[in-house]
Amino acid sequence: MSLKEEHRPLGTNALIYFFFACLVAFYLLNWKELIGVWNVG
Amino acid sequence: MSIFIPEKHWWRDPLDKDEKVWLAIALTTSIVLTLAMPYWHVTQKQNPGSEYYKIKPDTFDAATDRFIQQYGVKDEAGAIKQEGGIDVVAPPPGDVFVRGQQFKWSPVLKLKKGSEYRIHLSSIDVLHGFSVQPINMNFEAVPGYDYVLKVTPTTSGVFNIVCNEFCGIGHHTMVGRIYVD
Amino acid sequence: MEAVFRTCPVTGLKVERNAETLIMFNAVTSIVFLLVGGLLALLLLLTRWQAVHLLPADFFYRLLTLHGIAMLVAWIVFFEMAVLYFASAILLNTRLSVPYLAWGQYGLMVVGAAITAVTILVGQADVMFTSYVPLKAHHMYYFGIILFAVGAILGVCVFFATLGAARHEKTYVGSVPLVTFGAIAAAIIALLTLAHGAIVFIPTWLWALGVIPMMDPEVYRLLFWAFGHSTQQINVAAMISCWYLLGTLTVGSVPVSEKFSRSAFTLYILFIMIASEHHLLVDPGISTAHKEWNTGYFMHLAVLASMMHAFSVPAAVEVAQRKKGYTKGLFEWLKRAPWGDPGFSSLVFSVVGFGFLGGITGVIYGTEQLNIIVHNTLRVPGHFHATVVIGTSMAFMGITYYVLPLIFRREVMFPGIAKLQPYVFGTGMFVFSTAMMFVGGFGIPRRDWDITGAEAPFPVAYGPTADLALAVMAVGGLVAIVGGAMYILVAVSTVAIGKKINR
Ligand code: HEM
Ligand SMILES: [Cu+2]
Ligand SMILES: [Cu+2]
Repeated sequence: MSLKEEHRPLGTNALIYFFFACLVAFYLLNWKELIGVWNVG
Repeated sequence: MSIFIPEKHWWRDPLDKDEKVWLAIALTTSIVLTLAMPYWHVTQKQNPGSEYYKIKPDTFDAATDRFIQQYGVKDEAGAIKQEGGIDVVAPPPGDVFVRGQQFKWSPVLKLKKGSEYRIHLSSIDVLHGFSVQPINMNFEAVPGYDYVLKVTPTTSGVFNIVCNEFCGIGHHTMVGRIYVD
Repeated sequence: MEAVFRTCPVTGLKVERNAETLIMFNAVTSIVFLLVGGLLALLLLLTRWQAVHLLPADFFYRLLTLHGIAMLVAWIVFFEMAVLYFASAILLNTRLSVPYLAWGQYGLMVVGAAITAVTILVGQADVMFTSYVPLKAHHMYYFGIILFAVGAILGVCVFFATLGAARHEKTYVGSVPLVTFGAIAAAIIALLTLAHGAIVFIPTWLWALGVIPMMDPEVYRLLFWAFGHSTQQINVAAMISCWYLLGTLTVGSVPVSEKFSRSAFTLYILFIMIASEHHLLVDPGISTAHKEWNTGYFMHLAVLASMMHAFSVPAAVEVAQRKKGYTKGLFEWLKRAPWGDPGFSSLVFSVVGFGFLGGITGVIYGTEQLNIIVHNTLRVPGHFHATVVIGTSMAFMGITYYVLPLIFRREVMFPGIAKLQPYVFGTGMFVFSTAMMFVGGFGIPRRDWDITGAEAPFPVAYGPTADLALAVMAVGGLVAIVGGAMYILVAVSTVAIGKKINR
């Protein structure tokens, strides 16, 4: 369904990209923490 | 509305731009997250090992005993030293055995920083969790499987092996030790 | 049996007597288990708060096993049965097919859950709900689970029979509603899952009876999680159906694209059997290539599907609000939303908690190497209290506020408490699970009665920050328990003595 411009879910867009930024940030943070453990393989 | 019958031919409706863009980003993310795993294996040094052998718990038990006899730290009288009632072992770089059983990790290990050890991890009864603290590395000890982890301690100090897989009512008393210098 | 219908004055839906009764029985029973699980949660919480350390060790492990069963199995699955009957019979304006099978579902599940619960309580099954072999419970423990699962299979069969009957009797034309579509996804996954449940629990039961030898422990883990992980996908599909349902009931939302939402549900079904090895990432017995293939996010695309819903559920709410004229700026639609409607606030907590806490950590913790710093620490229960409690349970709680007037036909009692309930429970649970994941980062194990090593050969300490975080976790948990009690108070008193709605 095509939406009128004033009905576009812009707020949802903003929220979802905020969510995405959080995902990336925490993801990278955890890799950083992993580097602190001993070498194992 | 989502509780009523959708309009006819709903599957022909094209997606809006906002949905398309998010879909593309989400799909790319899925691909990147997937490729990150093999990428880390190739380029970095913290990976769950994939070397393992099937082994009878009895055989593993005996192998650990032999390992303790061979590399046990002896006192003046020639007996193997103990800490917290557990034999202490100072092995050279190479094969090391860590045995989980209700409710004890044995032996106590004295390792050298920067040396590589092939830690053989297994259990002779139920599942146990091999959790090195405060380094926070966690692996599963499974009876019947000899899990070989190539470990190089990169920090020195006193470390506990905490059992973090529920293994019975004495689970919380199952703490072992690793010294690294 | 002649089908008896009434017409719902609010939605105009036709409601059949049998469907209505079974929804009521399943919903009430699920709430009873929530009460049991919640009381246990209080005791467990006050034990894991190391400064209080309430229960003795054996009781802690016993009640932890029961908390897992009462909550994850009984509360969630009984409620799901109610959702299935609602999404089929009620939404398609039809009667419940084979009602006696539906009663079979209810009876078997009640008896099964009771047998398992009693076996745990008398101290014959201190094995945790995962019951990893070689730990052995009394055979009645497995038997109860098997009965429960057979009951659930009957419920799914009734659901499909009802769909078939509705199609055959032409009680609707065209495609089923989106909520029903989501329920179908959940039900298909349930059938596949329960088959794995049988593969793992029947041999284990026979082993406990002494009839056959023990299953290999790693094979058990693989099969158990083929069942256990997929079960969580049922919960996700059911929860997301409830999100769309709540969006419609609270603000009249319409999915922006039926195609987009339905494709996402389809992805859950198609890739369900993979991804379950994220429970086995640091295990022997499985090759690296297999682990990465199985848990690769591009391989199973379940994360993609959830990210699609994460967009389309709020977008549906936003578009509905904008069409009402709330078009100023980015967020006028959100400001003018019905925040006093517990259905709506539950929906918001559920979506945000599932996405931001449960989803993000799920993606991270399920990555092969990152699992090294996660496996069996408190990070894991922190993660799943965000998914299955803030996400699934709050979605179900939100639905309850609509089921009470629509199905039980009673006015919700204590509307003031009902209004506050999602805020109390949601906030408490946010604090609880965030703090739990945070302390997990220090390496504190899950399922651990004592983290100080007091009775161990060596003492253990995680530092003052970890101790403080444990206290924060406990306070969050206590607030959540108050919120849970508010929910139970409202639901039970409405069902028992709420004012009848006669129109
Ligand atoms: C009222 C809020 C709740 C509180 C305060 C709470 C608290 C806890 C605590 C303290 C643990 C023990 C963690 C550990 O030592 O490993 C736990 C475990 C668990 N909880 Fe909850 N819980 C709550 C609600 C729920 C709900 C609603 C569900 C399910 C829908 C649930 C499912 C579980 C499961 C599956 C476990 C793991 C059991 C195990 O490790 O075997 N909880 N909970
Ligand atoms: Cu153990
Ligand atoms: Cu243990």
